[in-house]
Amino acid sequence: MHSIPWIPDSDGNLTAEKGDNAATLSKFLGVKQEDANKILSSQDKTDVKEGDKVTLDNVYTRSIKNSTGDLTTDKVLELSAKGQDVKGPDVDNYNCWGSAIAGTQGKEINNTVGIPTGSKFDVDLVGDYKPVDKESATFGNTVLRFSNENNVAEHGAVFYGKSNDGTIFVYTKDGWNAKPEVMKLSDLQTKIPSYGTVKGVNSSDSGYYNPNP
Amino acid sequence: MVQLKVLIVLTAAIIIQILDADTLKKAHETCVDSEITFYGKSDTVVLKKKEYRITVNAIGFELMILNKTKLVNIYKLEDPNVKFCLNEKIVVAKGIFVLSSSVPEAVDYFFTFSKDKRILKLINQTMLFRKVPPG
Repeated sequence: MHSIPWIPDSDGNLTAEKGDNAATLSKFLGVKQEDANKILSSQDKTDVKEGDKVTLDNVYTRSIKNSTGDLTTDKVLELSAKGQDVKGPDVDNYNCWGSAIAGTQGKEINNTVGIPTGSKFDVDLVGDYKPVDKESATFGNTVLRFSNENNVAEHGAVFYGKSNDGTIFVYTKDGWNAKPEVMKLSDLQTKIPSYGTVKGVNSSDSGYYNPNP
Repeated sequence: MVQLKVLIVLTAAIIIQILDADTLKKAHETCVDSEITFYGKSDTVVLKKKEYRITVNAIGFELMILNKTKLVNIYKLEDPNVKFCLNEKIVVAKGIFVLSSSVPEAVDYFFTFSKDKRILKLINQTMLFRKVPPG
């Protein structure tokens, strides 16, 4: 029987589905079961029920929590479609590439991590990461590279789990104004088609990258 | 013959030096004027010193545009670049789509604009210019 997945919310925390437990959490997060047990027991959720919320404390949830803004990607899209300017708080002054690289290197994500160009992001991926199959992506550890039809990098995000039906969740920081959030990969691509598709620096690669050990 | 060639080379070098000096002088004069110029594809809007206010902050600076007529004209510009003086040096700012991460090459500051490359309706007539991060 397949494990039943946890579902991340936009803050990067998880909601239990029917049948979820420490074993499925262990599998979802890619951690030892004793570590999953510790997370659950520290939140008095040793007997997990459907709908239970589990709060995660990692570089991604901390960056979302640290954001003082209310500019979600949806709100930025809505306001800019109406022709209105947006201005994120100073604390959110970083971008997708910077947050993806910092986060997957285990560094705190803040307004010092911005990477100005896609070419620099590509240099980091080629130098410090190895391309992996989509199926080898691991929670919070795998960078996704998005590029346009000319394979110019347009965006970066971090793999944040996959459900049994194949739905992929990503941590994403969309531009310099929006607050970071976790969403379905398919939603991100629908909302911002200009980011293109997930593709490797070498177009034969999947576009999924794990840090070098 | 050799002397003539040397004379031609020297004359050319002097002319180039004069041209360079002129270019520098012009650039310096532009800075002294304290103008902020918005260059669109087909139009230009120049803000005089009394028509704007700058507030420096941790990530760059905010430009409050006080002349409302010129602000309306700025909204009409397509894909504007901005040039202004900072510490007597000309600096350039360009725009990026509001959800884009990619900062334009060879600029000092950047700002965000709409999908069709126009400046969005500003909050309090104030435009945020972010300093390009090192990298």
